[in-house]
Amino acid sequence: MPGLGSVVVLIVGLALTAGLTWAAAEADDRSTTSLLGLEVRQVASALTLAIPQIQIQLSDALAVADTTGSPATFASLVTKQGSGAFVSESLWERSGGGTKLLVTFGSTPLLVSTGEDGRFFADLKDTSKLQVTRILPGSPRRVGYAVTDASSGPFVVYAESDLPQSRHFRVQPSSPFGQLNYALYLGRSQRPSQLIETSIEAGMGNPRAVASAPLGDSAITVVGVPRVALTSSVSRALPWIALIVGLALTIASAATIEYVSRRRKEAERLSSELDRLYARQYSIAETLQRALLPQRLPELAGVDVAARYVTGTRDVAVGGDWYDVVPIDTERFVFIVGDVSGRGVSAAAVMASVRFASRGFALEGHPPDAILSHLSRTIEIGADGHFATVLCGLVHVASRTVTLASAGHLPPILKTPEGASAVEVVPDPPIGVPSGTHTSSVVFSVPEGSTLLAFTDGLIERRDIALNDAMKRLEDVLAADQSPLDSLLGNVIEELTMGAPEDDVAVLGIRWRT
Amino acid sequence: MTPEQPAMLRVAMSREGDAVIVVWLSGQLDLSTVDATTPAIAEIRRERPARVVFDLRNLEFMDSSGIAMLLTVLPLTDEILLRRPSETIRNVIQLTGLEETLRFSE
Repeated sequence: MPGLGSVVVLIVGLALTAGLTWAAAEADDRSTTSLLGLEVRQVASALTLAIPQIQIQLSDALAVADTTGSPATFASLVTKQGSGAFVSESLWERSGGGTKLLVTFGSTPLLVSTGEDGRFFADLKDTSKLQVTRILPGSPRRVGYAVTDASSGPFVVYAESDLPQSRHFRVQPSSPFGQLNYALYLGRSQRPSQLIETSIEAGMGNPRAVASAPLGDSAITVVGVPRVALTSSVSRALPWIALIVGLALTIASAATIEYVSRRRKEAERLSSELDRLYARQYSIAETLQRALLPQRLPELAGVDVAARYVTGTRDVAVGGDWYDVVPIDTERFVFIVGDVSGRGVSAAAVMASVRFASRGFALEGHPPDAILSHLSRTIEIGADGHFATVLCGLVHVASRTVTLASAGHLPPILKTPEGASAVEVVPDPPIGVPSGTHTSSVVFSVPEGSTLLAFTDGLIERRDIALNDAMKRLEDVLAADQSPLDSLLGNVIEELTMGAPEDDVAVLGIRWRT
Repeated sequence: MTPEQPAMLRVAMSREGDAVIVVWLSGQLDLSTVDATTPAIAEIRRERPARVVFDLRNLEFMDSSGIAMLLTVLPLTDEILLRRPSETIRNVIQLTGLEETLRFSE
């Protein structure tokens, strides 16, 4: 399925192409029309070039007749001039009753033969202009011209010339107007009876141009159609060029956009695939983490224990935090909370080995400082690349006493009915530090109903809050919260990390029942 | 929680005499920046100086990744000194039980 973008480009491109093609064709048509008009007007004026000559010739003859008042002098002038373009030349005299033929040279005027002389001369106007008859039927047909001048005499000079035998002619390509086919009419209208001659045949007709040029008191009307293309080849090719280039550009643009949008869809698909893999990796890390932690804490008489583990948001790699509760006998148990430095599978592997080793040492009945001392021989930062902070406590439930040792780990917080504060324990160096020795421990007893909270630094370690201030805050939150143990852990994590810690967080709580 | 600014750490090295390398750390040292110290540690591993001084006067923050880095240097030299650490960082070292291992100096 093509994308919306490419379809839009295709449609817009086709519309633009159509528009440009139409505009180019229109421009070519306009220049054809304009050139045709020009040519036709030139034909018309060329055809009437001879008119002044006719006028002069006839006016001269009239002047002679008027001046001398003698048809004989007219006769001698006409003889001298020669008949020229005329097949018939005659002198007429107007009087009250009509116009009378005085003398004729050449053939008898067709005007007389067709019996139109009476009306023609009756309609004659008092003007010095050449006055022209309609086409006179005959073989060949003729056209007649008359001049008269009422102010200087009663005479009218009348002449006729032949029209071509055939009304149809063929344009010679080499002639001055060889680019046109045209029709000539006498007068200003295009009446078939007044057609002088034409080279236009049926079917020719578009575009056509019409021009008239005066012929005495009448006119010659020229109708022209182009015989060959009048505009330049570039002008004629332009619509095709616009069409082809436009189509090519449109198709190329649409194809490019289609390609780009498919690439983008592919990139989006890959990106969502990447998100999925990232989520999957995250869930694998979390699964591994949880697999390495106790699946269930033991049931103990006299105390409730609960733990929470929250995966940090900063990194998908598995972290090295852990917690553990190891029952020793009916009265005693050991709890451990630890944090292996660094992240990833190697940190998790070190965590697993330290955790299971610590369980072993605890089950052998060692006190906390000895457990840490033994543990410190299991890893070495130079070789393993990791060290671990560990908090280890031995709880005697009935006497409510706790023996506590720390290998560089944050102290636990004891919440009593009076308040909450950190247990003072001198930390020895972390596990894995070569020179470390583990000899310190502290023994303390807890009031009834107390809660001991051990945790890893993810709970309080934030770049924008100093460690001591964060500890204070944790104490305050704990002191104020009277929820059951399990909810208390959830509340503390939520309160201290907004539920989304950067680093992994492990929290272990022990509550003495009242 | 405040919006997370990306942590920045600058690491520089200098020498004081033949047997002392000083590593100057400024900014924030945590999991996201600790790799910036890798070249300095490689240099220490090559030279095995008698003493390594970490000058921390411009270090604002250090987490357990920073401590891990310092502990990595431990087998490579006879003595590590932390020069002029802030109260906060001093606190972190003390809480981790490493005052004897990573000594403070002025």
